[in-house]
Formats: sequence, C-alpha cells, structure tokens
Amino acid sequence: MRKPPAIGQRYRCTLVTDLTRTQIVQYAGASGDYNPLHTDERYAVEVGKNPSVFAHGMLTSGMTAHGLRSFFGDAPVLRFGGRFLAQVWPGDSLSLAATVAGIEDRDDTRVATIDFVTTNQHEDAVFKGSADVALAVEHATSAH
Amino acid sequence: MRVEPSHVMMFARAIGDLDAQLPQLGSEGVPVTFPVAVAQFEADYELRPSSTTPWFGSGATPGSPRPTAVEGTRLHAEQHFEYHRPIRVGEDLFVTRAPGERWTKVSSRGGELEFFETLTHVVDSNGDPVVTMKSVSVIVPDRGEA
Repeated sequence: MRKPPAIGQRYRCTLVTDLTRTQIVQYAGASGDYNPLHTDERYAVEVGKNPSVFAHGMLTSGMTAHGLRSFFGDAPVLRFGGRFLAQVWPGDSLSLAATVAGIEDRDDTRVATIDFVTTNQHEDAVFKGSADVALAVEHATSAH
Repeated sequence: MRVEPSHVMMFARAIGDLDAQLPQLGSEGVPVTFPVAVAQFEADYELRPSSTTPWFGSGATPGSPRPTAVEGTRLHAEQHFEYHRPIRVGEDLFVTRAPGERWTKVSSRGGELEFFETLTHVVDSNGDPVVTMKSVSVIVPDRGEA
C-alpha cells in the first residue's frame, strides 16, 4: 500500500532509455498525428531541416503522465499540463522528477498538486508543468 | 469518438506502458493524454493522409512543406487537460474546437513570437463535460517547419 504523499515529498523515475524511432512511430499510429517530421527521416532532414526525426511533444507529455501513475497509481488526475521546452530526439533518455507542492481538500476529495519536470540525459528540461491528483474520495453519508 | 478498448491499449503501450492489456468496458484506466487521439476521428485532419489531398511526406522525393506551413517555425508550446470526470472505456465522446486567445511577445533574440490557443471541449452523450483541453502554439521566426 502506498504511503500518502506529504507536501515537499519528491519522486523520481526513468521514463525512457534510448528512445527509439519505433516508439515514435507507435505514438504516431496511436495518436493519429502522422506529421512526417516525427516519422519520416528523409522528410525531417531534407524538408524540415532537422538533424533527424524527433518525438511528438505529446509523446513526452504522455510518458510524463504515465510516469506520474508510477507514483500515484490509479488516482484520478483532475488536471495535467505543461510547457514544452526542448525537442526530444531518438536516443534520448528521459527522467521525471516530481514534488508535492500542495495538498488541499475540495469537497469530498483530497487533492495533491504536483509540480514536475521531465529532463533528458543532459539534465536539460524538456517538459515542465503541474498536475492535480485526487488522492482519496470520502463517501459522504447522511447516517448519524 | 468511441473510446475503443484496443485504441486505449495501443495508446498506453505507445507512451511506455509496454505491457498494457485490453481494458474492460467501463474501466476508467484511460491515459490522461488519450483525448488528443481524437485526431483519428477528425474528417479534415491535415496530419493524416487523405483521399483528397496529396500527402506531403517523402516517397520518390523528399516531400514538400506542410500545406499549411507558416512563415517561421510553428511549435507546440503548451498542452493542458482539465478533467471534469474520468473517461470510461467504451463510451462515446463528442468534440468541439474553438480558437482561444492570441497574443504576441518579443523574444530574448528580439524577434516577435505569435502565440495562439485552441480549446477543445469533450462532452459525453448527455452533453455533460468530460475533459477540456487547451493547446498553445507559437510561431517563431527564422527557423524551418517543426
């Protein structure tokens, strides 16, 4: 059973090691974003003038949200979002660091606000944001 | 958009849940960012090959710039999700998009950055809100398409 989070508590996990082009293609197929900048090396280099294909920002975002689940399990996420700060390339390795910034009760729900940053193997931030996670739902009853 | 179990499983695997299995109908185990996959169901989505528009990716040639390319580089700057309730596997969701705010900002390099928001409202078959997405894009001068 997970220990309830406390303000200031920190978490860290690896999201991906050596990101593959295959995973980028998997994400293109699942999300429906077939922009060739992400999946078509010749296009990305010759037309897009990039060093190679690069990951969808939403792949990084999705991996980050999945990483949060490793900390908080199936707790419902009420809010999740962030800013994309740098491109993610094939071969990159990403880590997620999260901190419990606040805990408050909203109606019958205890909500933890989590600040997070996803960094690459150079410790450069690639995605940074926050999320609100519902930790527990108290089922109110009229019985006295 | 119908939240199909196999689609949820494929999406979960793509974001790193490599052992994801087929979820049960009614399950609330849908990845937080799954609603972006509504793009699969948009009739005129420009980032999917269609029967009416030549695809711009490579074949015999390297391809050509995106048909809606802008002057400068278009970047996905931010993405936010606000859940009103969890998504349930098997349910039908309905989507409307609306432009949000637009603003400009001078970059540290002196160029003008143009930001624009897109709001996506996802509701259930009763019209009740499920999730609201806000996407912020920015157009940066002087780079290629991204």
